[in-house]
Amino acid sequence: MTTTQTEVVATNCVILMDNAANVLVDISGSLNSVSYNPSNTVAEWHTFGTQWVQRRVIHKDMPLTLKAVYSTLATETAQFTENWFFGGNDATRTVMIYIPDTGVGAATLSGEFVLESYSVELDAEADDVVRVEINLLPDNVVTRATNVT
Amino acid sequence: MTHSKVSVYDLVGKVKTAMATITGAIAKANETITEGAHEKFTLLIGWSELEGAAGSRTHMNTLGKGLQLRRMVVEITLLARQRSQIGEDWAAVANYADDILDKLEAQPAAAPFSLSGVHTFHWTARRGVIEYGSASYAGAIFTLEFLCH
Repeated sequence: MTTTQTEVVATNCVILMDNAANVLVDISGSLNSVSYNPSNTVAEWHTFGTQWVQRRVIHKDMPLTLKAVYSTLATETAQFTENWFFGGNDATRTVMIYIPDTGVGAATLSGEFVLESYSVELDAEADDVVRVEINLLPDNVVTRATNVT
Repeated sequence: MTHSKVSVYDLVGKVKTAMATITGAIAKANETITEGAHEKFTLLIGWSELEGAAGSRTHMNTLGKGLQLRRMVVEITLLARQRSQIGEDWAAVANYADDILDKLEAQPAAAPFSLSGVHTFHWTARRGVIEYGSASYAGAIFTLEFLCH
């Protein structure tokens, strides 16, 4: 057994998202959590003469959830999202995630995403800044690669 | 609106400035703190606790250290009067506490204590006999917890 020496923390991960002009912008500084959940839909069937279930992967999906700090600058996550929803253009936007940072060898996930929903809670009794939770869904293929530049 | 970083020194000083406007109060903070107190209604202002990246378990509130909130705790020590006649002592503490509460509640929702980086604050207080400068005072300690940029 070897003891890993390449574990990572999430603090230096980088998230880029298209702005309304389809230019990728680093929005990492205004969000603090990204979760992606790849999933397969699996078909199951039985055939005569065997007790065991047979399965086959049919479809792939990868919902994405971003947790951001609500801020007022147009180039930051919250305003990106508000303008995406209310801006009259629901077209997909590219999202790109670097893990654990943008160095050579980092893993990258990228794809086109639609905005499914987001939530903002304005609570005068909260001892905290305002948070935004954003749910994105991919349109077509999400690509995983290794950063070489 | 952009926010300026709030320094410990400034916050303590601004709380002192606000408290000094209470009629009859002698407010002291930073360089004006003395080893002894005046006979009555002295307010000593100083910080007691700090938290970096408030609410986070890392040194950042967003990815890439885009945001680092500050939680600062400032104490106002009320020395109402030297312990002598218990009824008058506690009556003085109650009256002076009312003055402090009025001043705290008068702070504006935006930029309380004239600091644009202060997002919110919350206070509690506890009555007690306080030793200061080799004398006992009937008084109270107000604890102000600030969430700052």
